[in-house]
Amino acid sequence: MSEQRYPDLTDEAIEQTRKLIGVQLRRYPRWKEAGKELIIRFALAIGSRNPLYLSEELTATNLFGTLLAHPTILSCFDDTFIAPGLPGIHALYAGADWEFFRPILLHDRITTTARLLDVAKKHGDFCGTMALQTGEVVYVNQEDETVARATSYVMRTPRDAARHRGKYMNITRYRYSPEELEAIDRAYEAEEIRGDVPSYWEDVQVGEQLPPIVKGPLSSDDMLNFVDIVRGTLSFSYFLDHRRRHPQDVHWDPETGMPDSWDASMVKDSVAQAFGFPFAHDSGIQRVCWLENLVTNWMSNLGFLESLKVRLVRPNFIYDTTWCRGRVVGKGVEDAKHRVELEVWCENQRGEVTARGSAAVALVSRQVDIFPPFVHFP
Amino acid sequence: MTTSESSTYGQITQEGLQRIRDRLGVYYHGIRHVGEITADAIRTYAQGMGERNPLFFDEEYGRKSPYGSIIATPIFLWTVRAITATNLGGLPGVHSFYGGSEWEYYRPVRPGDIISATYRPHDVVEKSSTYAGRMAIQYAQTLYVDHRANAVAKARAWSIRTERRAARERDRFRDVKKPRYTREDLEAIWDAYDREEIGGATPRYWEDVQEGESLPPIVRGPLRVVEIIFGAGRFDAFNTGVGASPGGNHYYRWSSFRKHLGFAEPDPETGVPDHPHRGHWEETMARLIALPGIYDLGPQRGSWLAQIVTNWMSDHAFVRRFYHELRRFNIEGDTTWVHGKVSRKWIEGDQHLVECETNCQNQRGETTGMGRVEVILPSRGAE
Repeated sequence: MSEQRYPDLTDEAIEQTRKLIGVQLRRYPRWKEAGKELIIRFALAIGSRNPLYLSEELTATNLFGTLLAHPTILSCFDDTFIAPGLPGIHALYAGADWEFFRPILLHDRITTTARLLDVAKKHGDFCGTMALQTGEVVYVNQEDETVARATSYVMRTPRDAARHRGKYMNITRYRYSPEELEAIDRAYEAEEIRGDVPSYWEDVQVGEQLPPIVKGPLSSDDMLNFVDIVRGTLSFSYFLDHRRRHPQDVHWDPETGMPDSWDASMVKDSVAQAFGFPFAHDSGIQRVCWLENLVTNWMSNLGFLESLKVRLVRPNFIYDTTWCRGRVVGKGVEDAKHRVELEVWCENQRGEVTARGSAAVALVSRQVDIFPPFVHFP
Repeated sequence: MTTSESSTYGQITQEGLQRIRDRLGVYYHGIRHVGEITADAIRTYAQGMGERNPLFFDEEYGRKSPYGSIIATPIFLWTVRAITATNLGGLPGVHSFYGGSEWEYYRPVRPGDIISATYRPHDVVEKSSTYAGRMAIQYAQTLYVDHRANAVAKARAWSIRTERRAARERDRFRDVKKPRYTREDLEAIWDAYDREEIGGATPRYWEDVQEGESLPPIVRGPLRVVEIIFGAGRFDAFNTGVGASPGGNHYYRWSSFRKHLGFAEPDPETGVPDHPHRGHWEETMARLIALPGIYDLGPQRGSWLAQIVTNWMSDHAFVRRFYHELRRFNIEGDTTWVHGKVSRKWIEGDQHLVECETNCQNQRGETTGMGRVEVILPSRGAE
């Protein structure tokens, strides 16, 4: 375990990467258009049961008159994983701050611009010195309207240091009792979706809990559906092309001597172990989407999610179960918007918090105009 | 959510086969919402199969091609519906492998098409195998129709049902070792990728083709787990929920497992019920079916048996028929060399046709797939 296999994180390497700050980055969008298939498949891939994002039949009666997409579908146009430079240093998704300006509707064509905003040296018990890369993605639709902006966080963690420290290596696979599996079952069945019943701003109390939702136990099929739709993979000669451009972005399989993608760690424990995770794990982006699902379920079809800020604090491993929870921590009126502030977090079956963050939601008010907050006036 | 305790769970029984026979001839509809074909879907699926022909992904190139747009690869219709009909039940706990399929195409599939798939199970046959003893082969026919009521394609696919326990007892592949690649081995593969030729805009005329002529070979490998799970999984995206479930993650899979007790094969360590097809990307499940490693999704290998032909035939041709059958398994780390030759050349009415025979061979020299592709080529005489 002590041999040097991957580069250390040096101050010079961090300095070198700082030169990329502000440069518009080349991105490879998986999708260009929010087609029906994409909108529905994305909703299914995050386990959403909200008919607003799933049912074409409903579009005749919803306010949009067309199929609406989950706001975090934008991950399919750019997954916000911004981690240029620092070859040979691992990249772990650490969260994002999303600001949403407009709904995403059927047949919207989304283009993006992405850049690196900052690189900062950090310290932590996972791998000692690490580098936090802050990035930005701006999403624009075919009407040239800015739909959303995401500030993303990717932690660059030297693999050897993480492996030697072994922070998570004493974790064992969780054995679920039949009762625990039943409880997950019941939670799925109990999921509440407000739909057309408005959450009125006046009715919301500070301190009130959002009905929790459960996502798990995480299976490889969950990874298949999610990663396939958000990021995909570079297959066969496309991977060869990529490797020629980025010779260090490769995991050499010790058994066969063949090159593999680091993304294999989302399904293969041995690849995850090379950078200090004991088991295959989620993409991180998923938990941001799940917390969005928690909030959009609760806010009703008449609310608008204005911002969602999530930091990932522990890994979510295969077969872990994530309970998404939230609570109202504030409410106010500003710029004629009736807004509530939420605290949101993910908790696993061991009771550990794996992600935490906040959300701001604009709700309809009994006092003012009938228009819901997502409608734009000339 | 425990698996069925029934004593015939996981066994091929006469009662189970009868349940399948009872469903023969019944029409089942595909899931409607997958039918809208977008340029994005055509592109991402083609590239996941390793496709390098821009006719299948580059919209700018497609507009200038004889088709006037990009078109879908022959294997693409799999994404509209997985067609082996094993999800209709009858043999709970009995494993299912993709065996192959036979296609007839009537028109190209383009962005904007809306395609529905309806299938009809049509046969079940009992056989035996050295891998797992008793086995059953299930056949289904699928028809694809577009939003203008045009026939798009017809397919007949089969899946092979085997008993997991019998496979473990026989352990036929126990001596199969993972390959070990030297730098030279890898360089040879990468060189072959670099040499891959795409026929493209220059027509290949029927008159210029000789029976017996070889097609330039292509290579795909060494097979990586991400290419299986994140590159070729599309056809399963809506079918990971079993039975009548619309598919999808978390709640959807969970509730479908509950409805179809006996379908899930629990993870031995955590006790979590999970989909048995994960043997394609999880070693634990691959061991439960006595395979030496995780293995490819069959349609991906099937696609290569046509890619070698579509690379060669140029953008002026059309695949009219495509047959492929899989032999053995393509295991993670294996490298597949695809070879082919023109086996027949003839004229039918005003169509100038060639048939190509193709095959997949792995680095051990084993044949892992056979294909037959019938192509309409342009004729010098017809112009």
